[in-house]
Amino acid sequence: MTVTSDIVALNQWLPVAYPGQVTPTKPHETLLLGQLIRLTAASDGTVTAVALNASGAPERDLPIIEQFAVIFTTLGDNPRPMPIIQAFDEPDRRIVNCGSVGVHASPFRIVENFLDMAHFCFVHTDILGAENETEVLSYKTEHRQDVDEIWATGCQFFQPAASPAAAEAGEGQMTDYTYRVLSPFGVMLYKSALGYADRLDAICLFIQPKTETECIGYMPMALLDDTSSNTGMIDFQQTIFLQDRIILENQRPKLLPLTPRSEMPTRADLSSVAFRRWLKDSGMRFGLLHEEAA
Amino acid sequence: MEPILELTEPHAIALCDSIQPGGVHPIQLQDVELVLWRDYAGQAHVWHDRCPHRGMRLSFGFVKENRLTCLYHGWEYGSDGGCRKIPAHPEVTPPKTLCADILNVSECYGMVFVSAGKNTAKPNTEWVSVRSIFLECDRAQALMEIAEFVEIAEAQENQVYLNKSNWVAVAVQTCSRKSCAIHLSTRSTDPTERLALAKRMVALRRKINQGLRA
Repeated sequence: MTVTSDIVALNQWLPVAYPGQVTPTKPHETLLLGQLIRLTAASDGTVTAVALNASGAPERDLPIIEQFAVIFTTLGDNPRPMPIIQAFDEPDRRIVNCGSVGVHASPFRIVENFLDMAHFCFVHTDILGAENETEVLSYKTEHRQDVDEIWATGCQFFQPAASPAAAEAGEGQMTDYTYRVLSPFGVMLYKSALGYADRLDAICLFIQPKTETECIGYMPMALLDDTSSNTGMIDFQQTIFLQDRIILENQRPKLLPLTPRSEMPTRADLSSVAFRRWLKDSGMRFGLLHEEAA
Repeated sequence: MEPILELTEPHAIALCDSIQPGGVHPIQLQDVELVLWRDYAGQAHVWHDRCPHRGMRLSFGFVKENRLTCLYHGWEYGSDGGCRKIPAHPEVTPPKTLCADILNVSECYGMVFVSAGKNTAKPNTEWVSVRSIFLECDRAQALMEIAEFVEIAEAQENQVYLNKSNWVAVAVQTCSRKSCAIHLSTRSTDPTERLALAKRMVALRRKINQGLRA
Protein backbone atom coordinates (compact mmCIF):
# COMPACT_ATOMS: atom_id res chain seq x y z
CA MET A 1 0.00 0.00 0.00
CA THR A 2 1.14 3.55 -0.62
CA VAL A 3 0.98 6.13 2.14
CA THR A 4 -2.56 7.43 2.59
CA SER A 5 -3.29 10.94 1.40
CA ASP A 6 -6.22 11.24 3.83
CA ILE A 7 -5.42 14.38 5.81
CA VAL A 8 -7.87 13.43 8.58
CA ALA A 9 -6.12 10.09 9.13
CA LEU A 10 -2.66 11.68 8.87
CA ASN A 11 -3.47 14.31 11.51
CA GLN A 12 -3.84 11.85 14.39
CA TRP A 13 -1.50 10.69 17.14
CA LEU A 14 -1.32 6.96 16.53
CA PRO A 15 0.21 4.14 18.59
CA VAL A 16 3.23 2.46 17.03
CA ALA A 17 4.78 0.42 19.85
CA TYR A 18 4.66 -0.21 23.57
CA PRO A 19 7.78 0.95 25.44
CA GLY A 20 9.42 -2.47 25.90
CA GLN A 21 9.33 -3.08 22.16
CA VAL A 22 12.07 -0.55 21.37
CA THR A 23 15.47 -0.91 23.06
CA PRO A 24 18.94 0.51 22.29
CA THR A 25 19.91 -2.82 20.74
CA LYS A 26 16.62 -3.44 19.01
CA PRO A 27 15.10 -0.78 16.73
CA HIS A 28 11.49 -1.33 15.73
CA GLU A 29 10.25 -1.06 12.14
CA THR A 30 6.57 -0.94 11.45
CA LEU A 31 3.95 0.41 9.07
CA LEU A 32 1.66 3.35 9.80
CA LEU A 33 -1.05 4.39 7.31
CA GLY A 34 1.03 2.70 4.62
CA GLN A 35 4.21 4.56 5.67
CA LEU A 36 7.21 2.51 6.79
CA ILE A 37 8.71 3.97 9.99
CA ARG A 38 11.59 3.07 12.28
CA LEU A 39 11.75 3.64 16.03
CA THR A 40 15.09 3.72 17.78
CA ALA A 41 15.93 4.01 21.49
CA ALA A 42 19.01 5.89 22.74
CA SER A 43 21.07 4.44 25.61
CA ASP A 44 19.05 6.56 28.07
CA GLY A 45 15.83 5.04 26.68
CA THR A 46 14.71 8.09 24.70
CA VAL A 47 12.78 6.93 21.66
CA THR A 48 13.00 8.67 18.28
CA ALA A 49 11.16 7.91 15.07
CA VAL A 50 11.84 8.40 11.37
CA ALA A 51 9.78 7.82 8.26
CA LEU A 52 11.62 5.67 5.71
CA ASN A 53 11.51 6.01 1.95
CA ALA A 54 10.86 3.11 -0.45
CA SER A 55 14.48 1.97 -0.30
CA GLY A 56 14.48 2.01 3.50
CA ALA A 57 16.50 5.21 3.97
CA PRO A 58 15.43 7.80 6.59
CA GLU A 59 13.30 10.51 5.00
CA ARG A 60 12.14 12.74 7.84
CA ASP A 61 11.98 12.79 11.64
CA LEU A 62 8.68 12.11 13.34
CA PRO A 63 7.55 13.39 16.75
CA ILE A 64 7.04 11.01 19.66
CA ILE A 65 4.70 11.07 22.64
CA GLU A 66 4.97 8.40 25.27
CA GLN A 67 1.77 8.26 27.28
CA PHE A 68 -0.65 5.68 28.69
CA ALA A 69 2.18 3.11 28.48
CA VAL A 70 2.15 3.39 24.69
CA ILE A 71 4.41 5.17 22.18
CA PHE A 72 2.56 7.45 19.74
CA THR A 73 3.65 9.30 16.65
CA THR A 74 1.95 11.26 13.88
CA LEU A 75 2.55 11.73 10.17
CA GLY A 76 0.53 14.95 10.11
CA ASP A 77 1.56 18.57 10.68
CA ASN A 78 -1.45 19.49 12.76
CA PRO A 79 -2.55 16.44 14.77
CA ARG A 80 -5.71 16.23 16.83
CA PRO A 81 -4.65 16.73 20.49
CA MET A 82 -3.96 13.69 22.65
CA PRO A 83 -6.93 12.81 24.89
CA ILE A 84 -6.89 13.56 28.59
CA ILE A 85 -7.43 10.44 30.70
CA GLN A 86 -7.11 11.31 34.37
CA ALA A 87 -7.18 7.73 35.61
CA PHE A 88 -3.63 7.23 34.31
CA ASP A 89 -2.38 10.04 36.60
CA GLU A 90 -3.94 8.74 39.83
CA PRO A 91 -1.16 7.45 42.10
CA ASP A 92 -2.99 4.37 43.41
CA ARG A 93 -3.75 3.00 39.96
CA ARG A 94 -1.97 0.03 38.48
CA ILE A 95 -0.99 0.76 34.90
CA VAL A 96 -0.91 -2.49 32.99
CA ASN A 97 0.06 -2.74 29.37
CA CYS A 98 -1.52 -5.77 27.78
CA GLY A 99 0.81 -5.83 24.82
CA SER A 100 -0.42 -5.70 21.27
CA VAL A 101 -2.53 -7.88 19.00
CA GLY A 102 -2.58 -7.80 15.20
CA VAL A 103 -5.97 -7.81 13.50
CA HIS A 104 -6.79 -7.95 9.80
CA ALA A 105 -9.73 -5.56 9.89
CA SER A 106 -10.65 -1.94 9.40
CA PRO A 107 -9.69 0.17 12.45
CA PHE A 108 -13.29 1.35 12.69
CA ARG A 109 -14.71 -2.18 12.87
CA ILE A 110 -12.37 -2.61 15.84
CA VAL A 111 -13.63 0.58 17.52
CA GLU A 112 -17.26 -0.44 16.98
CA ASN A 113 -16.66 -3.87 18.44
CA PHE A 114 -15.13 -2.25 21.53
CA LEU A 115 -18.26 -0.10 21.94
CA ASP A 116 -20.59 -3.06 21.52
CA MET A 117 -22.23 -4.81 24.48
CA ALA A 118 -24.63 -7.03 22.54
CA HIS A 119 -21.89 -9.48 21.56
CA PHE A 120 -20.72 -10.20 25.12
CA CYS A 121 -23.06 -13.20 25.54
CA PHE A 122 -22.07 -14.78 22.25
CA VAL A 123 -18.39 -14.00 21.75
CA HIS A 124 -17.28 -13.78 25.42
CA THR A 125 -19.70 -16.37 26.77
CA ASP A 126 -19.48 -16.92 30.56
CA ILE A 127 -16.91 -14.10 30.90
CA LEU A 128 -18.41 -10.76 29.85
CA GLY A 129 -21.90 -12.13 29.17
CA ALA A 130 -24.22 -15.03 29.92
CA GLU A 131 -26.40 -16.84 27.38
CA ASN A 132 -29.58 -16.27 29.38
CA GLU A 133 -28.98 -12.53 30.01
CA THR A 134 -28.72 -11.11 26.52
CA GLU A 135 -30.72 -7.90 26.78
CA VAL A 136 -28.98 -4.57 26.18
CA LEU A 137 -30.74 -1.97 28.30
CA SER A 138 -31.12 1.48 26.87
CA TYR A 139 -28.25 3.92 27.33
CA LYS A 140 -27.38 7.40 26.12
CA THR A 141 -24.84 8.69 23.65
CA GLU A 142 -23.66 12.23 23.19
CA HIS A 143 -21.16 14.19 21.18
CA ARG A 144 -19.14 16.22 23.70
CA GLN A 145 -18.25 19.24 21.62
CA ASP A 146 -15.61 20.65 24.00
CA VAL A 147 -13.37 17.63 23.53
CA ASP A 148 -14.94 16.42 20.26
CA GLU A 149 -15.52 12.94 21.67
CA ILE A 150 -18.42 10.50 21.52
CA TRP A 151 -19.55 9.27 24.93
CA ALA A 152 -21.94 6.46 25.79
CA THR A 153 -23.23 6.66 29.34
CA GLY A 154 -25.58 4.71 31.60
CA CYS A 155 -24.54 1.39 30.04
CA GLN A 156 -25.18 -1.71 32.12
CA PHE A 157 -24.62 -5.37 31.47
CA PHE A 158 -24.84 -8.56 33.50
CA GLN A 159 -21.42 -10.22 33.57
CA PRO A 160 -20.47 -13.63 34.98
CA ALA A 161 -16.75 -12.73 35.29
CA ALA A 162 -16.26 -9.05 34.45
CA SER A 163 -12.55 -9.03 35.36
CA PRO A 164 -9.94 -11.37 36.89
CA ALA A 165 -10.83 -9.99 40.33
CA ALA A 166 -14.56 -10.54 39.74
CA ALA A 167 -13.91 -14.04 38.42
CA GLU A 168 -12.02 -14.79 41.62
CA ALA A 169 -14.98 -13.56 43.69
CA GLY A 170 -17.07 -16.08 41.75
CA GLU A 171 -20.34 -14.22 41.39
CA GLY A 172 -21.85 -12.54 38.40
CA GLN A 173 -22.57 -8.82 38.67
CA MET A 174 -24.39 -6.03 36.93
CA THR A 175 -21.48 -4.05 35.51
CA ASP A 176 -21.72 -0.32 34.78
CA TYR A 177 -19.94 0.94 31.72
CA THR A 178 -19.09 4.34 30.29
CA TYR A 179 -17.52 4.47 26.84
CA ARG A 180 -15.44 7.22 25.29
CA VAL A 181 -14.41 7.47 21.66
CA LEU A 182 -11.15 9.36 22.17
CA SER A 183 -10.29 9.69 18.48
CA PRO A 184 -11.12 7.80 15.29
CA PHE A 185 -8.41 5.30 16.29
CA GLY A 186 -8.74 5.32 20.08
CA VAL A 187 -11.50 4.23 22.40
CA MET A 188 -11.79 3.49 26.09
CA LEU A 189 -14.21 2.33 28.72
CA TYR A 190 -14.73 2.83 32.42
CA LYS A 191 -16.30 -0.10 34.22
CA SER A 192 -17.21 -1.03 37.80
CA ALA A 193 -14.16 -2.06 39.80
CA LEU A 194 -14.66 -4.81 42.35
CA GLY A 195 -14.76 -3.36 45.87
CA TYR A 196 -15.18 0.30 44.83
CA ALA A 197 -18.55 2.00 44.82
CA ASP A 198 -17.46 5.30 43.31
CA ARG A 199 -14.38 4.61 41.22
CA LEU A 200 -13.99 2.82 37.93
CA ASP A 201 -11.37 0.77 36.12
CA ALA A 202 -10.16 2.39 32.90
CA ILE A 203 -9.37 0.25 29.86
CA CYS A 204 -8.13 1.74 26.59
CA LEU A 205 -7.74 0.45 23.10
CA PHE A 206 -5.45 2.41 20.80
CA ILE A 207 -5.33 1.22 17.21
CA GLN A 208 -2.34 1.43 14.88
CA PRO A 209 -3.66 1.33 11.31
CA LYS A 210 -0.86 -0.25 9.26
CA THR A 211 -3.13 -0.20 6.23
CA GLU A 212 -6.89 0.22 5.79
CA THR A 213 -7.50 -3.39 6.79
CA GLU A 214 -4.46 -4.32 8.90
CA CYS A 215 -4.16 -3.00 12.43
CA ILE A 216 -2.41 -3.53 15.73
CA GLY A 217 -4.37 -2.97 18.92
CA TYR A 218 -2.69 -1.72 22.15
CA MET A 219 -4.60 -2.13 25.41
CA PRO A 220 -3.23 -0.13 28.34
CA MET A 221 -5.31 -0.19 31.53
CA ALA A 222 -5.39 1.91 34.69
CA LEU A 223 -6.86 -0.40 37.30
CA LEU A 224 -7.83 -0.34 40.96
CA ASP A 225 -7.18 -4.07 41.31
CA ASP A 226 -4.25 -4.62 43.68
CA THR A 227 -4.58 -8.37 44.06
CA SER A 228 -4.57 -9.93 40.57
CA SER A 229 -1.19 -10.63 39.02
CA ASN A 230 -0.08 -8.70 35.94
CA THR A 231 0.08 -12.00 34.07
CA GLY A 232 -3.50 -12.77 35.08
CA MET A 233 -4.78 -9.42 33.84
CA ILE A 234 -2.81 -9.56 30.60
CA ASP A 235 -4.07 -13.11 29.95
CA PHE A 236 -7.63 -11.93 30.59
CA GLN A 237 -7.46 -9.04 28.12
CA GLN A 238 -5.63 -11.07 25.50
CA THR A 239 -8.27 -13.81 25.76
CA ILE A 240 -11.04 -11.27 25.20
CA PHE A 241 -9.24 -9.63 22.29
CA LEU A 242 -8.49 -12.93 20.56
CA GLN A 243 -12.16 -13.90 20.83
CA ASP A 244 -13.05 -10.59 19.18
CA ARG A 245 -10.47 -11.09 16.45
CA ILE A 246 -12.39 -14.08 15.03
CA ILE A 247 -15.32 -11.73 14.51
CA LEU A 248 -13.36 -8.72 13.28
CA GLU A 249 -11.49 -10.58 10.58
CA ASN A 250 -14.71 -12.06 9.22
CA GLN A 251 -16.92 -9.01 8.87
CA ARG A 252 -17.83 -8.08 5.30
CA PRO A 253 -17.13 -5.78 3.66
CA LYS A 254 -13.80 -5.37 5.43
CA LEU A 255 -13.97 -1.59 5.08
CA LEU A 256 -16.64 0.00 7.25
CA PRO A 257 -19.68 1.03 5.17
CA LEU A 258 -21.26 4.35 6.11
CA THR A 259 -24.16 4.39 3.66
CA PRO A 260 -27.50 4.20 5.42
CA ARG A 261 -29.13 0.77 5.17
CA SER A 262 -25.89 -0.97 4.15
CA GLU A 263 -26.04 -2.41 7.66
CA MET A 264 -29.01 -2.64 10.04
CA PRO A 265 -28.49 -1.24 13.53
CA THR A 266 -30.84 -1.62 16.49
CA ARG A 267 -31.20 0.40 19.70
CA ALA A 268 -28.25 -1.51 21.17
CA ASP A 269 -26.09 -0.03 18.40
CA LEU A 270 -26.74 3.57 19.39
CA SER A 271 -23.04 4.16 20.10
CA SER A 272 -22.03 2.65 16.77
CA VAL A 273 -24.55 4.86 14.99
CA ALA A 274 -23.19 7.95 16.77
CA PHE A 275 -19.61 6.88 15.96
CA ARG A 276 -20.41 6.41 12.26
CA ARG A 277 -22.11 9.80 12.03
CA TRP A 278 -19.18 11.51 13.79
CA LEU A 279 -16.68 9.70 11.56
CA LYS A 280 -18.55 10.77 8.45
CA ASP A 281 -18.69 14.39 9.66
CA SER A 282 -14.94 14.32 10.34
CA GLY A 283 -14.29 13.93 6.60
CA MET A 284 -12.41 10.66 7.09
CA ARG A 285 -12.00 8.55 3.93
CA PHE A 286 -9.37 6.06 5.12
CA GLY A 287 -10.69 2.63 6.19
CA LEU A 288 -14.19 3.38 4.96
CA LEU A 289 -16.16 1.86 2.09
CA HIS A 290 -16.96 4.36 -0.62
CA GLU A 291 -19.92 3.71 -2.88
CA GLU A 292 -19.12 4.30 -6.54
CA ALA A 293 -20.88 7.35 -7.89
CA ALA A 294 -24.03 6.27 -9.70
CA MET B 1 -16.18 -3.21 -5.67
CA GLU B 2 -17.95 -6.29 -4.37
CA PRO B 3 -18.12 -9.07 -6.97
CA ILE B 4 -21.62 -9.83 -8.20
CA LEU B 5 -22.91 -13.32 -8.95
CA GLU B 6 -23.78 -14.02 -12.57
CA LEU B 7 -26.08 -17.02 -12.61
CA THR B 8 -27.48 -17.43 -16.10
CA GLU B 9 -27.76 -21.16 -15.37
CA PRO B 10 -27.91 -23.17 -12.13
CA HIS B 11 -24.44 -23.64 -10.68
CA ALA B 12 -23.28 -26.63 -8.59
CA ILE B 13 -21.76 -25.59 -5.27
CA ALA B 14 -21.49 -28.83 -3.29
CA LEU B 15 -22.40 -32.49 -3.12
CA CYS B 16 -25.62 -33.22 -1.22
CA ASP B 17 -23.84 -35.57 1.18
CA SER B 18 -21.28 -32.94 2.11
CA ILE B 19 -23.81 -30.99 4.16
CA GLN B 20 -25.68 -32.71 6.98
CA PRO B 21 -28.76 -31.39 8.81
CA GLY B 22 -27.47 -28.74 11.22
CA GLY B 23 -24.31 -28.23 9.15
CA VAL B 24 -23.04 -24.79 8.08
CA HIS B 25 -20.38 -24.36 5.37
CA PRO B 26 -18.68 -21.41 3.69
CA ILE B 27 -18.85 -21.58 -0.13
CA GLN B 28 -17.01 -19.49 -2.68
CA LEU B 29 -18.71 -18.92 -6.01
CA GLN B 30 -17.35 -16.51 -8.63
CA ASP B 31 -15.41 -14.73 -5.86
CA VAL B 32 -18.60 -14.22 -3.86
CA GLU B 33 -18.79 -15.62 -0.34
CA LEU B 34 -21.89 -17.73 0.33
CA VAL B 35 -23.09 -19.83 3.24
CA LEU B 36 -24.61 -23.26 2.71
CA TRP B 37 -26.59 -24.75 5.57
CA ARG B 38 -29.10 -27.54 6.00
CA ASP B 39 -32.05 -27.33 8.36
CA TYR B 40 -33.30 -30.26 10.43
CA ALA B 41 -36.14 -30.88 7.97
CA GLY B 42 -33.40 -31.68 5.43
CA GLN B 43 -33.82 -28.54 3.33
CA ALA B 44 -30.58 -26.93 2.09
CA HIS B 45 -30.21 -23.13 2.03
CA VAL B 46 -27.69 -20.86 0.33
CA TRP B 47 -27.40 -17.21 1.34
CA HIS B 48 -24.89 -14.46 0.95
CA ASP B 49 -22.38 -15.02 3.73
CA ARG B 50 -23.15 -11.85 5.58
CA CYS B 51 -25.37 -10.99 8.53
CA PRO B 52 -27.35 -7.84 7.57
CA HIS B 53 -26.68 -6.39 11.03
CA ARG B 54 -22.90 -5.90 11.12
CA GLY B 55 -21.65 -7.93 8.16
CA MET B 56 -20.41 -10.97 10.11
CA ARG B 57 -20.02 -14.06 7.96
CA LEU B 58 -22.96 -16.32 8.76
CA SER B 59 -20.86 -19.39 7.91
CA PHE B 60 -19.22 -18.89 11.32
CA GLY B 61 -22.68 -19.28 12.87
CA PHE B 62 -24.55 -22.36 13.97
CA VAL B 63 -27.97 -23.94 13.56
CA LYS B 64 -30.07 -23.53 16.67
CA GLU B 65 -33.74 -24.49 16.82
CA ASN B 66 -33.69 -24.87 13.05
CA ARG B 67 -32.50 -21.30 12.55
CA LEU B 68 -29.13 -20.11 11.34
CA THR B 69 -27.70 -18.09 14.22
CA CYS B 70 -25.02 -15.44 13.76
CA LEU B 71 -21.93 -15.92 15.90
CA TYR B 72 -21.53 -12.20 16.62
CA HIS B 73 -24.80 -11.13 18.26
CA GLY B 74 -26.87 -14.31 18.10
CA TRP B 75 -29.39 -12.98 15.58
CA GLU B 76 -31.49 -15.93 14.39
CA TYR B 77 -32.65 -16.40 10.80
CA GLY B 78 -35.41 -18.78 9.68
CA SER B 79 -35.45 -20.95 6.56
CA ASP B 80 -36.88 -18.08 4.50
CA GLY B 81 -33.96 -15.84 5.50
CA GLY B 82 -36.13 -13.67 7.76
CA CYS B 83 -34.70 -12.57 11.10
CA ARG B 84 -36.72 -14.13 13.93
CA LYS B 85 -34.85 -13.06 17.03
CA ILE B 86 -32.53 -10.27 18.20
CA PRO B 87 -31.24 -11.35 21.63
CA ALA B 88 -30.23 -7.79 22.60
CA HIS B 89 -33.93 -6.92 22.43
CA PRO B 90 -35.84 -10.04 23.52
CA GLU B 91 -39.21 -8.24 23.44
CA VAL B 92 -38.85 -6.93 19.90
CA THR B 93 -40.33 -8.73 16.87
CA PRO B 94 -37.83 -8.16 14.05
CA PRO B 95 -39.35 -6.32 11.07
CA LYS B 96 -40.07 -8.38 7.94
CA THR B 97 -37.56 -6.30 5.99
CA LEU B 98 -34.75 -7.64 8.16
CA CYS B 99 -33.71 -10.56 6.00
CA ALA B 100 -30.61 -12.45 4.88
CA ASP B 101 -29.81 -12.25 1.17
CA ILE B 102 -31.05 -15.62 -0.11
CA LEU B 103 -30.53 -17.57 -3.36
CA ASN B 104 -32.63 -20.30 -4.97
CA VAL B 105 -31.44 -23.80 -4.09
CA SER B 106 -32.20 -27.17 -5.63
CA GLU B 107 -30.75 -30.63 -5.32
CA CYS B 108 -30.37 -33.15 -8.13
CA TYR B 109 -27.60 -35.41 -9.53
CA GLY B 110 -26.43 -35.75 -5.91
CA MET B 111 -25.42 -32.09 -5.96
CA VAL B 112 -26.62 -28.78 -4.51
CA PHE B 113 -27.30 -26.03 -7.08
CA VAL B 114 -27.93 -22.32 -6.76
CA SER B 115 -29.76 -20.34 -9.39
CA ALA B 116 -31.08 -16.86 -10.02
CA GLY B 117 -34.59 -18.12 -10.71
CA LYS B 118 -36.40 -21.33 -9.92
CA ASN B 119 -34.52 -24.44 -11.04
CA THR B 120 -36.73 -26.47 -13.41
CA ALA B 121 -34.60 -29.65 -13.33
CA LYS B 122 -36.50 -32.63 -11.93
CA PRO B 123 -35.20 -34.03 -8.67
CA ASN B 124 -33.44 -37.33 -9.31
CA THR B 125 -32.70 -39.09 -6.08
CA GLU B 126 -30.89 -42.12 -7.50
CA TRP B 127 -27.62 -40.18 -7.78
CA VAL B 128 -25.12 -40.61 -4.99
CA SER B 129 -22.40 -38.11 -4.03
CA VAL B 130 -18.89 -39.45 -4.55
CA ARG B 131 -16.26 -36.78 -4.14
CA SER B 132 -15.53 -33.07 -4.50
CA ILE B 133 -12.02 -31.83 -5.28
CA PHE B 134 -10.75 -28.26 -5.14
CA LEU B 135 -8.34 -27.21 -7.87
CA GLU B 136 -5.98 -24.33 -8.43
CA CYS B 137 -7.00 -23.82 -12.04
CA ASP B 138 -9.56 -21.83 -13.99
CA ARG B 139 -12.89 -23.11 -15.22
CA ALA B 140 -11.66 -23.68 -18.78
CA GLN B 141 -8.95 -26.06 -17.60
CA ALA B 142 -11.26 -27.82 -15.15
CA LEU B 143 -13.72 -28.46 -17.98
CA MET B 144 -10.96 -30.08 -20.04
CA GLU B 145 -9.80 -32.23 -17.16
CA ILE B 146 -13.21 -33.77 -16.51
CA ALA B 147 -13.01 -35.44 -19.94
CA GLU B 148 -11.36 -38.21 -17.99
CA PHE B 149 -14.76 -39.04 -16.50
CA VAL B 150 -17.48 -37.75 -18.79
CA GLU B 151 -18.41 -36.62 -22.29
CA ILE B 152 -17.68 -32.94 -22.48
CA ALA B 153 -19.16 -32.24 -25.88
CA GLU B 154 -22.36 -30.93 -24.40
CA ALA B 155 -23.51 -30.14 -20.90
CA GLN B 156 -26.87 -31.38 -19.67
CA GLU B 157 -29.29 -29.27 -17.69
CA ASN B 158 -27.68 -27.41 -14.76
CA GLN B 159 -24.27 -27.49 -16.55
CA VAL B 160 -23.89 -31.12 -15.55
CA TYR B 161 -21.80 -33.44 -17.73
CA LEU B 162 -22.66 -37.16 -17.98
CA ASN B 163 -20.64 -40.13 -19.22
CA LYS B 164 -21.82 -42.24 -22.18
CA SER B 165 -23.60 -44.80 -20.06
CA ASN B 166 -25.30 -42.05 -18.07
CA TRP B 167 -23.67 -43.45 -14.99
CA VAL B 168 -21.37 -40.66 -13.81
CA ALA B 169 -22.25 -36.96 -13.41
CA VAL B 170 -19.72 -34.15 -13.05
CA ALA B 171 -20.14 -30.41 -12.51
CA VAL B 172 -17.55 -27.66 -12.23
CA GLN B 173 -17.95 -24.92 -9.63
CA THR B 174 -16.16 -21.67 -10.42
CA CYS B 175 -14.87 -20.61 -7.00
CA SER B 176 -12.77 -17.70 -8.26
CA ARG B 177 -11.02 -16.77 -11.48
CA LYS B 178 -8.14 -19.02 -10.49
CA SER B 179 -9.80 -21.81 -8.52
CA CYS B 180 -12.51 -24.36 -9.15
CA ALA B 181 -14.18 -27.34 -7.57
CA ILE B 182 -15.22 -30.49 -9.39
CA HIS B 183 -18.17 -32.39 -7.95
CA LEU B 184 -18.73 -35.99 -9.01
CA SER B 185 -21.67 -38.27 -8.34
CA THR B 186 -22.79 -41.64 -9.69
CA ARG B 187 -25.80 -43.90 -10.03
CA SER B 188 -23.64 -46.92 -9.34
CA THR B 189 -24.57 -48.88 -6.21
CA ASP B 190 -21.31 -50.82 -6.31
CA PRO B 191 -19.03 -49.62 -3.46
CA THR B 192 -15.91 -50.78 -5.31
CA GLU B 193 -16.84 -48.74 -8.34
CA ARG B 194 -17.55 -45.65 -6.22
CA LEU B 195 -14.27 -46.02 -4.41
CA ALA B 196 -12.44 -46.29 -7.71
CA LEU B 197 -14.08 -43.06 -8.90
CA ALA B 198 -13.16 -41.29 -5.67
CA LYS B 199 -9.54 -42.41 -6.02
CA ARG B 200 -9.40 -41.14 -9.59
CA MET B 201 -10.70 -37.77 -8.42
CA VAL B 202 -7.98 -37.55 -5.77
CA ALA B 203 -5.36 -38.49 -8.37
CA LEU B 204 -6.68 -35.77 -10.67
CA ARG B 205 -6.44 -33.18 -7.91
CA ARG B 206 -2.89 -34.23 -7.18
CA LYS B 207 -1.96 -34.02 -10.84
CA ILE B 208 -3.41 -30.54 -11.35
CA ASN B 209 -2.43 -28.86 -8.08
CA GLN B 210 1.08 -30.31 -7.96
CA GLY B 211 1.56 -29.66 -11.65
CA LEU B 212 0.75 -26.02 -11.07
CA ARG B 213 3.12 -25.78 -8.12
CA ALA B 214 6.03 -27.42 -9.98
